[in-house]
Amino acid sequence: MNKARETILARIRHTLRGDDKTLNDVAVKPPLRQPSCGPQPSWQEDDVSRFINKLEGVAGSISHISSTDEVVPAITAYLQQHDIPLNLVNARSSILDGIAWSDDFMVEQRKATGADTTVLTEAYAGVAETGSLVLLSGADSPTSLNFLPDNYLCILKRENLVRHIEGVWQRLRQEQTGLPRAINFITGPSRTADVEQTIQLGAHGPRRLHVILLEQI
Amino acid sequence: MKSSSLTFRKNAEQALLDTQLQRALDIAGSGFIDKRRAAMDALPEYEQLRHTAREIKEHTLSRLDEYLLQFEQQVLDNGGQVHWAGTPKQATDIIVSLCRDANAGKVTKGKTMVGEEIGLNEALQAAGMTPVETDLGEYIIQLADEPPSHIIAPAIHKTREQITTLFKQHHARLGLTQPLETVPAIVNEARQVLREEFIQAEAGITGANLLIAETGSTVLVTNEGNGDLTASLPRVHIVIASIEKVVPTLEDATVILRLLARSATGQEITSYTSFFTGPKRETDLDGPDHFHVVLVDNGRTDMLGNEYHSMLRCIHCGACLNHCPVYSAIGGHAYGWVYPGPMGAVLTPLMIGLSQAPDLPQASTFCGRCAEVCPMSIPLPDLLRQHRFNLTEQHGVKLKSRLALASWGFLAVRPRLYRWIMNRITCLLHWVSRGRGRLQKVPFAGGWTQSRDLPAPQGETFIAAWQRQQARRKADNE
Ligand code: SF4
Repeated sequence: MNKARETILARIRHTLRGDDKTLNDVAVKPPLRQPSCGPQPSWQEDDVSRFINKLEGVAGSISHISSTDEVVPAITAYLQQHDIPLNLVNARSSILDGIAWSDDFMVEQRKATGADTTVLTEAYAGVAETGSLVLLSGADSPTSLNFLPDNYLCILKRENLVRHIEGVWQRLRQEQTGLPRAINFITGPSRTADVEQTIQLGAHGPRRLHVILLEQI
Repeated sequence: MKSSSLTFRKNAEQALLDTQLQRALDIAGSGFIDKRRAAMDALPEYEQLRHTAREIKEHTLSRLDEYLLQFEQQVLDNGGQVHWAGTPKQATDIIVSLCRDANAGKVTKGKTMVGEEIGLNEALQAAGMTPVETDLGEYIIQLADEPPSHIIAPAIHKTREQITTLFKQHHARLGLTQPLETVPAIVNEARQVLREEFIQAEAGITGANLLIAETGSTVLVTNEGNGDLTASLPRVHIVIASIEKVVPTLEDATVILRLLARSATGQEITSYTSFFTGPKRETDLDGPDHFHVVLVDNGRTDMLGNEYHSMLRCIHCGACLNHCPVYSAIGGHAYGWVYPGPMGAVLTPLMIGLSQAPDLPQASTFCGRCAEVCPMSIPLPDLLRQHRFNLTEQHGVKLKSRLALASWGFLAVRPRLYRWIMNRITCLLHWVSRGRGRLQKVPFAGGWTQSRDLPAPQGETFIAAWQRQQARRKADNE
């Protein structure tokens, strides 16, 4: 539909500048505008407290650990508390690969299927402003893990907690690796209010979301 | 989508008498309003954000061609494709052929209002494919074979009982035997059934809340996670977006996102806010092989730079619907086309023609709440007034109104005659009301007194009372 493209662009140009240059006359010149940061919400408490408040405000939960050795006990406690079998599918990362699972666990590393109940991932970042986890798609971190299971467990390193959403963009810009196919900001479990405006968790995505915050000392 | 905006008055009357609808609207109540209020009260930066958001949009619109081209280039660089459609027909043709190329029998869909605009489901069905709506609200109204009645809560007009009945009718063939009485049961049933659809679909179509020029990303905001499953599981992901959705940078998108969820549902951010950039990378374990963006004009380039230009700033948050006394009384279907409420009353005449929707600009009390709550500072009442003005220009004023105005004009420049007549009418109405202070019927004002009483004059006009008082004062002073 190149014709439609020409027509749309010509109409825009005609209105905006009254000129009728053909497409080739206008070079694409990114960036047209320096990325400038807009107004940001502010808060009194420290960023970790803010993150926890926001996360709990959207029905997420959290455990704190101070070394990777505590991952397994934290997960065991959470799953047992909710009567969830100790099977899980997990993503890959240096932390995830290093976990020494006990024999009670059935752990697989792959993308998710519709039948998986529990998943463990590691977040690229957390956002204090909103209580969000940020996940990037990639070979180690398939997107289906974020949406198919019933129970979503996610490790967040304290050093990866940014203050505002823009902190994520800053980090991505610095890394200069380009954007992945999908960036997911995940804030609490999946929810719907489509039946009589009553909030119900677990619409299509996870019913539960639990963050394991790793403060390495 | 076919429109019934022409019969707005009749639609509205029927809506007021529809007891199920009125119950559903009652249940919805002031939920959205209260939640938005609370979110804004907790955000001292609101006015600043609103100001910045408006600037971002106006800046982008002033260089719309360049940003669209930058967006296109970035999508291409990331391995995706961009298609341009001027008309609904062009858009559906493109999408149907993309789905055919994917050998799609089943197509999952996230909520897309542009999709409604162009009649996407009908086109897919006509081509022998099965579109499956995956947003719960959209799924409910797809079962009911109805259009959405709200831009963010499409099934807001349905009561739980109605939804229970719909599921019973349509899911019996899938093995549902018990009626689903509770909200969790309904949500769970939809989750199970749609789970299969997500996995089976060959192509997935989603809308976009924003497009980002610098990265070629499309932004999708949902609470259910249905949009992400639609975008990530099938082999082909098709994004459909209107051209005014583009913003320059990720930071600009962030400003608008801070306003969007708060204005819509009072959330600071929705459960899922996702940025899609191109198809799956070589080493990715999942994600679509193909990523297409269909850019739709459908009348937007006409609005650019004309009296309705500011409407292109709309981010489809729905706040103006939630705060509109007319929408709250009649619901969305009465408006007769895709977009209801104040934003719909402005957009519909622009998209399907003023002559097809002449009553929509009248569907306003001009109370101004819509403009007050609009995060993009769109002067909705002014735009409605502009429509009324254009309508008058095109069709003139009705004879009855013309005669009434002419008579008033005649009297207004003859103050003595005017006062004499007003005196007579006042006395007459006072006499007719027999001191009860109100009138249930008045000749020539049947419409007005149909739903309320006219307070009867107290037997004297203001000027007569004033003169009497002045005379008394003068006498007292002497
Ligand atoms: S006109 Fe304003 S309030 Fe209404 S939907 Fe658009 S952005 Fe929201």
